[in-house]
Amino acid sequence: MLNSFAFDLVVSFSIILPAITGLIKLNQVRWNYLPFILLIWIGLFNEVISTIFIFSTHSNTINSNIYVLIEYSLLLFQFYKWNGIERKKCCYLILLGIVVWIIDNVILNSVWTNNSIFRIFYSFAIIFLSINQISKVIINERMSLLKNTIFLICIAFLIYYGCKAFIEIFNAFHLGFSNAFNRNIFMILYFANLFSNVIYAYAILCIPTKQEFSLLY
Amino acid sequence: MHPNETRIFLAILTGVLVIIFLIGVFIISAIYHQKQNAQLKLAQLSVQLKALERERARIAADLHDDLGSSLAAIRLQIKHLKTNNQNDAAIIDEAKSYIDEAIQKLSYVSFNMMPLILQRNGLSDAIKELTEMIELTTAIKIKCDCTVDIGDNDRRIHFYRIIQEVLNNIVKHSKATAVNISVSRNERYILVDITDNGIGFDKDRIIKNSIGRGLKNIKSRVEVLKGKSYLSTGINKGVHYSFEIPDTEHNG
Ligand SMILES: Nc1ncnc2c1ncn2[C@@H]1O[C@H](COP(=O)(O)OP(=O)(O)O)[C@@H](O)[C@H]1O
Ligand SMILES: [Mg+2]
Repeated sequence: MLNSFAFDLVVSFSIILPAITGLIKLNQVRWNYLPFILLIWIGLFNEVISTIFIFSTHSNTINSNIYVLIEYSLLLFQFYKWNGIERKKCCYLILLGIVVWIIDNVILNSVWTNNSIFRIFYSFAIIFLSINQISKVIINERMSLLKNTIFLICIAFLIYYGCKAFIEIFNAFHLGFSNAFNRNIFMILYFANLFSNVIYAYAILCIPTKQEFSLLY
Repeated sequence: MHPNETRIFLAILTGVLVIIFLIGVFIISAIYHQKQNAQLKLAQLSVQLKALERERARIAADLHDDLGSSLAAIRLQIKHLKTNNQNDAAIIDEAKSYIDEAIQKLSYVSFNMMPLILQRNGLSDAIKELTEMIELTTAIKIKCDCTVDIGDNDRRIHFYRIIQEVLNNIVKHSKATAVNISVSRNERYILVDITDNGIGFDKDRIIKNSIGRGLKNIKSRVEVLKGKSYLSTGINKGVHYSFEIPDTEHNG
């Protein structure tokens, strides 16, 4: 039923949707949204690599472990570009992330295993920053929120990284459930992923074509 | 899955769904309140600007009518002064030129405050007068293509102020030599486009250091007009201000 490989593939590659809208919009997109669009393309690239690795070595842990660090840094940079965070804080948080990543993937575990600590850390960081950004937009924006790219993306972040934090914490307990059970738990994250990719695609379409001013808060 | 596992899984799934539902409720409530708040703010802004413009119009009229006619009377009196004394004649000439200067300055101040011509002849004449004044006092050449007129008085003032502030910025900051103004109307919008060939500026920096008063005022007025403002620029790329404002006179 649900746990067919084809389903996995479709969900994973739903990132093609925002990647395509990003490509369409590329020459109109301002520098302020570029980190996010870059992240989408890197995400797509990562899915391709994962698929190849799963076929050849049956494990995509190494590239996933590296990908999450890139994802975290780019997202922080994106929040900086949206004025959600100051330059100094952004740098400190990226440094802190790298430290946590090293502790998680080098000192406590190895990059060849599926590690939770960094994933929990960065999910929470992104959730806090998203909530902060959403509050800013609500207070300052006078136009419709349903067409506000930053608002939409942050909502998707909230749901996706919320699910991610929950599942990684669950994982970290090593409760010893069966494989089928663990797969079903991950299915929740897949749906969140599918949902957020659809939102991303729509949000990218909502990026204003001309340079509106004082849009950033 | 083990039957027990199935029950645990269902419990977890329910928990996740409840949390997502709560996030959904939060989003809907946020959108609702943001909308309410935005409308309220806009209404307040509109009232404030109206009061401000009314006060300016009153002061401009007072300056022009009271002070202006007094100055004109003084000038007339001085003109009638006759003297044979060489020294006195020089003083009289000097006084005359001071009075002329004062009258000039007065009309300049009252024009800046609220151009009478805006009410009397409409937007395009007022803009023409404004650009002529700028060309007279600076080296900027302005090409003006503006034949559109706005029926509603309050809206007309907003349009004028927007263009005035843009031109102020160009005079003050741009070091431009040529400026293009175009106000046009298509079936749904009134479009205002103003470009200069000056030094431009780093928009991200200005916005990050919290955008200046003038730009804020422009944006507020455009918001009251329910329009959109665009600004594209870069260092040494000149500035292109562009506004897209719904034409209420065509579709009610
Ligand atoms: N046409 C222009 N050319 C160059 N710089 C400009 C232009 N318009 C605005 N600026 C820059 O944008 C800044 C903000 O403008 P504004 O909000 O009107 O504030 P102010 O005019 O009081 O400085 C200005 O200080 C200036 O650096
Ligand atoms: Mg200014």
